[in-house]
Amino acid sequence: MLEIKNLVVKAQEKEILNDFNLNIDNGEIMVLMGPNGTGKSTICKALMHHPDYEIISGVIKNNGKLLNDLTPTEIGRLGFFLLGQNPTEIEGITNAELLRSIIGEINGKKVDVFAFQKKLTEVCKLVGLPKEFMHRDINFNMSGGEKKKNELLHLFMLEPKFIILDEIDSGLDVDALKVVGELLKKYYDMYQPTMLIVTHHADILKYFEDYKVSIINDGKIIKTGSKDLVSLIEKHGFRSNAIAGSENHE
Amino acid sequence: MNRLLVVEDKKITSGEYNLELNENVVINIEGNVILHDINNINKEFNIELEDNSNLDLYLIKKSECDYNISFSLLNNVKLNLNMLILNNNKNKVTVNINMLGNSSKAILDIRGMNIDNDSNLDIICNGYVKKDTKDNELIENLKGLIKNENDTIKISPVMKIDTNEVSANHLVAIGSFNKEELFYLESLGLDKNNARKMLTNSFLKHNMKNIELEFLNLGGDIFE
Repeated sequence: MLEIKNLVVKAQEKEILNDFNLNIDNGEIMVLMGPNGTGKSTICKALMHHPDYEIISGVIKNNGKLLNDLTPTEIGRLGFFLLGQNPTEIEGITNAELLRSIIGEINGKKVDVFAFQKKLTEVCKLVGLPKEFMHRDINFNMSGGEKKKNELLHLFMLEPKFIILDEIDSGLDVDALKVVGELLKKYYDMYQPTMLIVTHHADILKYFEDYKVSIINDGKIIKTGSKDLVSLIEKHGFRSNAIAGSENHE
Repeated sequence: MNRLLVVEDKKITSGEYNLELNENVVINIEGNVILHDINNINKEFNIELEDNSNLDLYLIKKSECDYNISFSLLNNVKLNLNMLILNNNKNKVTVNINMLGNSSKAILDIRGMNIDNDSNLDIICNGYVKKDTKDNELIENLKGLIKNENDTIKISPVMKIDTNEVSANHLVAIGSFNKEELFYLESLGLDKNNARKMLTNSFLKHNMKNIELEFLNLGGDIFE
């Protein structure tokens, strides 16, 4: 279970999260929604310990383990995986090089090249990328849709336990969104990871049967409820009385 | 690949060669030529490109001293220079391009990095396009990677253009590791040192071909 208590996070000397509280059970899907500029991306980056985001106070625990002082590498090795709206491009490092290095490091032994190659070929097929993509530089010179699929290639290869989706649906056309949504659903069915989905739209959520929804405003969670909250938000907006009056499940 | 020992001024008409050079020689290029100059100890040499010639030059220099290379381009010439400088101590590397004819294209991709702490690398790229020439294109892409706090890299893209009918561009970038790239690699579970090593590796190997990559793999220490 992920427990975030009284979290205060600063970025560029500005306090963005203040008294942020959120709990997510193992295997649960939590959707985080809220107006622009209220701290949705900040919580994603803070969870991954991005160097631009400083945890001032509060506690982040995963299954009882305190995460506050870990490095991004340690967070990654605990199985946290961030899938962002604009995946980083790195020229000169191929997907295969990267994944082989990570898997080798995490397992502490040399990667079985044949098994690795076999799995990578299967995953390329699964996510709908030509197998040549394993030798492409990370997200470099790829279209928006290809980048998201390339990130999903990493996801299926690394098999993380906690997935953070930071507006992964932004910039995707309907066909690309369908592919990404179905692949995420497939991953969820296969591995039952915990998921934090940050989104502005309900489109990506139709691929998941059950989830909770939290609303963030001014750097703190103001409401947590069932998936019914999404239709209320879509109908009335974030700050309506209908939202305020709905049942709080937390 | 053939080794080509150049002890005095020499004309090369075609082919791909691994150069072994004496200092202060002049190489005259005619036709389509690919040259690899990997860590030769020469400090200075000149290349003259005759009409309608093409030269792809792959050059790795582990600088222990100042280094100077000059190119003269006549008409309808194509020059691609892919150069990597691995610097020790305090050295100056000067590349001179003289575009003397018409309709030629020179693309200079020069990258530099200090290997040792407290090193200073000075890269000067002098591009000259002669008066009354036309339809030439000169592109200077110059990049420096700073790995340690006490390193310095200075890059001077100098362009002296004496004609209006030319296309000339330069790009200079000096910096340390890209913070977002480093975070991306680490957040996937890579150790910080290995992430830096991979990024250094990608910087060094940019545009290089197999023969240079073999050399770079031998020098494992430079990736640390």
